[in-house]
Amino acid sequence: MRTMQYLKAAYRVAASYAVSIAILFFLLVLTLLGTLEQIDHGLFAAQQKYFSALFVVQEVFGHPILPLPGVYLLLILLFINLTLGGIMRFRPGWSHVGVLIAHLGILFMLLGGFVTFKYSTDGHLTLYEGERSNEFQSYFDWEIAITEVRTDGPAKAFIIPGAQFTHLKPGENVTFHRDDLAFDLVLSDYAPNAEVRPAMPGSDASKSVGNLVLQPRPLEPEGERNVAGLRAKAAVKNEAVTQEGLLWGLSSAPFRVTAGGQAYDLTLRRRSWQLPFEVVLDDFTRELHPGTSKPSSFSSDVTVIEPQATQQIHISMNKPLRYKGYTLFQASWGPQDAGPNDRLFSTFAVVKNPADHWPLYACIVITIGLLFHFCYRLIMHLRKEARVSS
Amino acid sequence: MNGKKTGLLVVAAAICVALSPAPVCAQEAAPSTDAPAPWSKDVLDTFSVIPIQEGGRIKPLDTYAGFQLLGSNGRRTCKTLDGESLTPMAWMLECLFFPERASQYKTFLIENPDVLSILGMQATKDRDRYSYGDLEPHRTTLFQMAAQFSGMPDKSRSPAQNQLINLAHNVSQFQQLTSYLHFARHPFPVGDNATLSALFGGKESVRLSDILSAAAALKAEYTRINTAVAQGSDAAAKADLERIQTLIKEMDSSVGESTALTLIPPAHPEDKEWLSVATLATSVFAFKADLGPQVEIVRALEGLVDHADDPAAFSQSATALNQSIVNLARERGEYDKVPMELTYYRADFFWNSLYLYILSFLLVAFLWMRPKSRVLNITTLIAVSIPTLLLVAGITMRCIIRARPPVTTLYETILFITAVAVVVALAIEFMYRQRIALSLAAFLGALGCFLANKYEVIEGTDTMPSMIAVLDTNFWLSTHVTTVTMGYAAGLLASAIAHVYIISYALGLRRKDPVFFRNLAGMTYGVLCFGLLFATVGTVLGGIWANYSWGRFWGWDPKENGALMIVLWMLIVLHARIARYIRDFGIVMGAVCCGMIVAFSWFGVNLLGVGLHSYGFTSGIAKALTTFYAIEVLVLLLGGIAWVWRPVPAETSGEETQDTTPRKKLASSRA
Repeated sequence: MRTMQYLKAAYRVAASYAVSIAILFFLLVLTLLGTLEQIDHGLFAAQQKYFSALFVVQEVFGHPILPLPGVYLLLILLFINLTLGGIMRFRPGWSHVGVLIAHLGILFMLLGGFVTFKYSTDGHLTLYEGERSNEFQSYFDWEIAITEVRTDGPAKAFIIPGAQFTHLKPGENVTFHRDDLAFDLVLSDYAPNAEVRPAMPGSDASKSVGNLVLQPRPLEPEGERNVAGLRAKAAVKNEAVTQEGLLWGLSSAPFRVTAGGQAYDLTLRRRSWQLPFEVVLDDFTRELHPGTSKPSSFSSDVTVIEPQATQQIHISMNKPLRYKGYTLFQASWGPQDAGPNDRLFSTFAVVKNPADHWPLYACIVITIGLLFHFCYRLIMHLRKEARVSS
Repeated sequence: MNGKKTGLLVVAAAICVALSPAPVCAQEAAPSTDAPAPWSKDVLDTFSVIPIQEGGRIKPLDTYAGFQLLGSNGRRTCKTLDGESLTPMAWMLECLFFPERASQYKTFLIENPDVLSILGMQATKDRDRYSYGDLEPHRTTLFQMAAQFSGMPDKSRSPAQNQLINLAHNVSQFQQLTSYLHFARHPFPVGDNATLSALFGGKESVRLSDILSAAAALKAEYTRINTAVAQGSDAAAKADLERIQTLIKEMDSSVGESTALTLIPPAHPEDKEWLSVATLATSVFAFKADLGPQVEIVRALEGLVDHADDPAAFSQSATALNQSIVNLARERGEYDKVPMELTYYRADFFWNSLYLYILSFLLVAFLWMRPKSRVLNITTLIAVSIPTLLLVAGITMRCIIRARPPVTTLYETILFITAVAVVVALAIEFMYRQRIALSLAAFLGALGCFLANKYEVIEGTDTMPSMIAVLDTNFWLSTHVTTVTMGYAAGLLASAIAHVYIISYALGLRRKDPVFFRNLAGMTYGVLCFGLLFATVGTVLGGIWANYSWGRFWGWDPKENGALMIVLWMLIVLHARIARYIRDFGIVMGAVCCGMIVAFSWFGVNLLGVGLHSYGFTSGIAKALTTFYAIEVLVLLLGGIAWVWRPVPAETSGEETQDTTPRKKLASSRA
């Protein structure tokens, strides 16, 4: 009985206006803080700290003293609050229809945001004119590829997803083990942005590998410019042998491990995905407004190749290619200093998002709901005024 | 300001040009400097409507002249030495045809005395205008320092350094303008060279148009002689070859200064880039197409220079120039909107609206004193409606000229927000008929037009710039941008109404008139609801645009965040009212905060220097914004103090309250 009372009380609190207003207020404050954070630390850092986080510890004058809920957590709470509030306050009648529709639209949009956050994949595909590929890379995520070095047949490859090592803090390590791999890999000293330098004489020997050292760097304001790095130690199974190396996103050569008479190449690379079709960049066109250096349009002519058919598509700003659940957007181009006859490359943002169109549907629903509600209120108000006048 | 940023780059590029040759006006004898200005209305009209390509679009020469003068002089007029006021077109003609005279007009506004210190000049006043003649001795220092400051990061430059860069840009533009017709003032000597003499019909000297007309023959002759010389021909052939080479070099050097005005439509329909005299000369010798009609434009320019001292002949030459350019532009289908743009600028919609709004505000003041005067009521309503119609007409003409929705730049947001706020205020006046919304309509109209005009002056660049690639979509501009801007307008209008409430309440005005306050709170609430609809839909539409163009719905860009903050605050206020945490007084205090958030989103985020929506440069805005916030904090404090010391007027207690008070009855009984 008492449990029911507690549950009812919790339900009333969770569905209350007070909670709604508190959530909206915190969202407002975090949006402001996250916007201001971008001045010094860039969008990526602000996004990580405020918008994608469950909790935020806000620094005041350099001291971390103010714990706040993150936007991610707030949006979950808002979803719960909206749902329960809608159930609690539902009343039949025209005066509530518009509000109900608008709130359903907001719920749907929040749901779309969650689906996008959890299940969408995005990256980029960069092609020079004439090049083809069916693989696109993440802007931010890293993975470790372990590939057998072999010329006598297909080589085995193992992937260690970034989720297994990007959380490592200084001094922490994690071991990657597979039965069908001849060594265990101990990963440590992960740095989201780092560079590899020659070790200075007299520097801490425990930090260096060979004559190289991994030097962490401050995060770049533009997240895609961060180059990750970490230490890797391969412990050959059944042997007391270890081989140590540095994995770095811009390494020109892989870290080679030999175990059980087999060589393996280890590389730290941007996470990549396969497209269900191949894309060839036939031509990239950049147009300027006449007599200026101001771009008027960028566009790419591509050929989409599948086993069954090929098709030619024109991708431009505001006109992406949508095909088989993937969308390719005209994102960038280069080289920026290219001459008139130089070969150009085009970069496409590639997105796979199951909730791609949900915001549009939600927007339509919200618009209908709000229009209905406010028109209804206005008509009621005018009628009341008319009554008063008469 | 995009234009100014571009200007910085132009300065850097122009410095090399500007430093090497001394400008023609400072160096050479131009036509008489004492001649009276021959610019009759006909001549000015003829020149004004000539199309020119600049900033990626075709516009009237008058528009170009207007922004050149505005950018340099801080206003669209300048004074001659006799104190006569010149229009932009007249000033431009002075620059082109009487450069020495133009170099004495004080057309360079320097607002920071530190600029003069850097140049080693004596400041007469903190803010003053200087002529090119005043600045000429310091030209080298000016361009050297501008080059140095341009290399510094934007954020680390002082206001004086920025202004010096702008000054260098303006001086460079002036030099280019005054030396544009250098080629027409100095015929090219042919001398006694028989080959050239034969080629040019026995003339001792030739004009640029003669050389361009004879380009094919000249090139053929050059090739023939060159081959002969290569085969070991005689000394006469070598002399001929050298003479032709000299002539071409002289021509190159002369037309090299004629790059400022791209007045010449290209011959080929697919060529989008119009030509200056310099690029025409290059094209003629490249034999890209039959450029006969284009060469006629050069001939007409030469005729103008020849007749600069003869008003009648000058007028005829001007007509010839006008017809030759207009006909070519018309054939290309690029002339249609030029006369309309000229009409738009001559109508001066927004300055006229400003004056009329001020006038109507005065009428509103009279109306408050004689509220029962039917004549005054109608007159005031008409007085507020006329500038509103002008404002809407101006915005509409801009839409037609640009073939764009009403809002594509920061400048246009000011116009559109003003128009929406005034129209909504008039609609509220129609509902409540209490003169409050009418007064606000006049006040906000005047304020908005003042801000728009001030912004245009500060920027000093074309307010109809070409669109960058990613914004080139009328569908999203007309849906997302328009709706979200209407949300801004509503937020600001609600804030303005709330100010009336708070100030009246704090000062004890209408103390015994609860209906007055109730109506104000009702208006504020209604406008917030209106704002919430448009801000929400506009913000979500922005996300959808981003999703369909870049593949992400929400990127936490500062401008997006600003719009979201407006929506969130409106939701907080409206939900707090529904939940009865706040009443009328809370609504109006919330509306004032809403205005502050709108200001942050509208202009504040542009000051952060980050994000994708960098479509508006906002120099000078920081100070205005800080002042605005200081005033708003004072208003909130005033409201807060009054709330503590004075009982709040009788209130409705929220949405659910069944208010049965016969308001108008109350009002009439009070009256």
